[in-house]
Amino acid sequence: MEQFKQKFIADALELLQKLENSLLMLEEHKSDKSITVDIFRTMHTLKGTAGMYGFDAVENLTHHFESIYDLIRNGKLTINKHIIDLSFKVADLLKKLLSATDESVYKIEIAAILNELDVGMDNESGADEKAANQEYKANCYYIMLHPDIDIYKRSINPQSVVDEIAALGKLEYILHTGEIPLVEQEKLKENTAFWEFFLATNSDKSEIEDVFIFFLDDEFDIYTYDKSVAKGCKPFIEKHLDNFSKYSNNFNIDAKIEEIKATFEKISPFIVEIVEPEPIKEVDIKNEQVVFAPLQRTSIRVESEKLDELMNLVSELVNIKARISLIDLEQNYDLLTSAVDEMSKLTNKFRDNVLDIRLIPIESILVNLKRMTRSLANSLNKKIEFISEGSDTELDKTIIENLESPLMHLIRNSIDHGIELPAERLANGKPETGTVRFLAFYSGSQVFIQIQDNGAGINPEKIRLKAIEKKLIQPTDKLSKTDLLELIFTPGFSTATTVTEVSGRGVGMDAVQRIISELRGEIEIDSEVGLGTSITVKLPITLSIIDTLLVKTGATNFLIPVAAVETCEMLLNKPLSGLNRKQVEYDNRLIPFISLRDEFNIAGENATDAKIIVISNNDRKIAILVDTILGEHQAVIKPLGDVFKNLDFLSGASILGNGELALILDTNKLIGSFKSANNFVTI
Amino acid sequence: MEENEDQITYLTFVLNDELFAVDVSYVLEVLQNVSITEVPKTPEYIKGIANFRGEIIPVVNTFKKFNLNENSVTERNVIVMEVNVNGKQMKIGTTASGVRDVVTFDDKDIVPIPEIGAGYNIQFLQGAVKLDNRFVLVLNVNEIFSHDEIVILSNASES
Repeated sequence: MEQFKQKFIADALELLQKLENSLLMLEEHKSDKSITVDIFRTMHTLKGTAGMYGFDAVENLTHHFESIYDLIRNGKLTINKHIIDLSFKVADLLKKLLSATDESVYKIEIAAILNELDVGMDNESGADEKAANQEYKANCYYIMLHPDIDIYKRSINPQSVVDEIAALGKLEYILHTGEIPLVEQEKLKENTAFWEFFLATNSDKSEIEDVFIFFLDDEFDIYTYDKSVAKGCKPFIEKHLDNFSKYSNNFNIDAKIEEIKATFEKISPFIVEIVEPEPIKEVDIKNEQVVFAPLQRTSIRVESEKLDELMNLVSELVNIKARISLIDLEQNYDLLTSAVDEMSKLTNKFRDNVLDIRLIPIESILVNLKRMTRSLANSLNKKIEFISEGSDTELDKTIIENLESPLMHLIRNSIDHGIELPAERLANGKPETGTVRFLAFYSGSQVFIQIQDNGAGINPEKIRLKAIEKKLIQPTDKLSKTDLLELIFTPGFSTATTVTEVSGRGVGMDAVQRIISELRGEIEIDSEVGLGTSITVKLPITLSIIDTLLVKTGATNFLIPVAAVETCEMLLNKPLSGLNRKQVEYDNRLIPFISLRDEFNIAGENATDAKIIVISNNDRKIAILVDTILGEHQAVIKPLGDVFKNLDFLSGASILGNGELALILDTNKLIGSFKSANNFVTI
Repeated sequence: MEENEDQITYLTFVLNDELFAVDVSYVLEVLQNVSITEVPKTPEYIKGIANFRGEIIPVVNTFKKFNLNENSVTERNVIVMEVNVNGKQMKIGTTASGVRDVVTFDDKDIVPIPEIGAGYNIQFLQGAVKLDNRFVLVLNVNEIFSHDEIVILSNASES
């Protein structure tokens, strides 16, 4: 039972996240009925299942909450900021209740919120006198219910189903108990009882479906009944022909059609008009609004451990494939070669598939970012608009999980230190509402995440002064604007004159950079005083397997990610000694040059047929000198471990097909080590 | 000798001709003929990295720790140990010329080593034990991979 409970909690938390998203949307589009209906539906589902698993407090709270949204969708209550604020509070409390071992701990909080909810209802609801003569702007439905014979074994009481449907609107029904004697029924091993329901209701189809949640799909059918299509009764009668003819005597199809029409006439006085259900509105991306189409994908939840194990198996498979490839190379046996080639292709596909499974869209952390923006803006009395683009950009699950904290911090900074108070913005000729923009997109083999604000920007001069004060730099040091801005990432640095409660404590920018670094990513910052700040985080899409070029210098194997490689060339007729960290000519430019032998103190001499590999990171290129290029290698990245944590030019190691180890070069870091002009020494 | 609770089991190994002993409870495996890949910009007492059951482990140059020069490379053995460094369990490999017998002896059989003339940090050793008329140096596993050294390792990217 416990595992079902756990599954319920996981499902429920997902529902709550969905709810939060809906609330955020609702705030922007208060008059959009479909969102309210969505919320109501979500709460209704949660209420039902919560009760089943003994979460009584959750059930109770959800019930009250659902009532409010029922009033709203019926037009009795109008959405306003207060209700939305309250809704968020309810969502938070529900989250706590679901995770708590003992619901009673929150008794007081629950009572307080229920109180507010009731007060909210009283204040806002208009006259309720029309309830008695409720008019249904309704849909009509014809429902056929024919349960299987084991219905009672499944603890379903058909009468309660009837009651639930009746509660949805105006119901007429015909129960066919069949005129087949019991003995015959037993022989048939079928249930011969079935219902025809005629329902006029405000609820939409999915709510009616909810009533049948415990029935199998083939036990019931729901049809929308349109008066103008009355003649078209035939199709669904014919579908259920065997029900009618088997289980009732004297079945006549035309008589049946009349009966159906007549029954609908009975409930039709309650129908004012038949309304088409409103389509769910998609928000126009051109206006850079929040892109939010509820993604209808079929999915299943998989435990992370299972995925991790799958990844491990794939890694081992890749390794073994490498070994077999090697053997094949040595043996050169035709039949084996073709089989190995096929296996290689298959393994590659398999690897790519599994890596892809671990990718989830970045949208999953957006909810929390948006909520934080909202509540922070409120508490600081600032007007802030949060815009996101590219929320469907996918990243490895582990990366996303670790990203949330640093991203929250960056956004907190934008809101706290970046965006100015409304009055100040107006005084500076800016619109009152500041914008925090979140962008995610692919570029090459990386994912870029940018957080931009149109706030006050960061003043490089202030940073210079602060850095001098903290003795991080000398007054005489010449630093470019970018260098100064990047000083922010130094531990202990903070330009805020007061450490606000919200940012600047504990999780500093240095921690952000460290986390990004551990994810083998980079972070860059750009800013203009008065215009705003832009922070770019660059991350690899996956953590585990990359395509690399295997090279060797001396006895050491190195791996260079193929994505970074531009060309490979032979170095001819150029002096090789003393060239390390100098420049060579390439493509009509001078680019920095590293000889791995000299850089890493590897024994031996650089041969005259040494190879040059030009690697690049965006625009920046450097040339690497190696002894030989051995070929390509699919590297399963193994971490080097804590002992080598500070060797940032290596991103790990990999086991080669012959069992030897190879060191994976972090090309971005290598290129980065040339960034300052100081490192260039021309020959 | 009679078996009693104070007896601890040790694996003996040689660095050149010198006999050492290490508590077996720390030893995971002895790897033979394993290839050790050198890692650039690391201090001398890190020999490199090795592949242990699919995991990358650092290999400490035990010879350097005791100021010895490795004599011959005929038997290249790596003793893989699991030790607690700075609160974390780590797998570390140590180089040896070869491994010898597994023996048992008491704590009380261990005699202290004089500091003078040792040529290395005697904290690395618990002491010495006489076995079959030979002196065996007993390793102090926790000191050999002390917190300080690992920190130094971590900061040694410039050396």
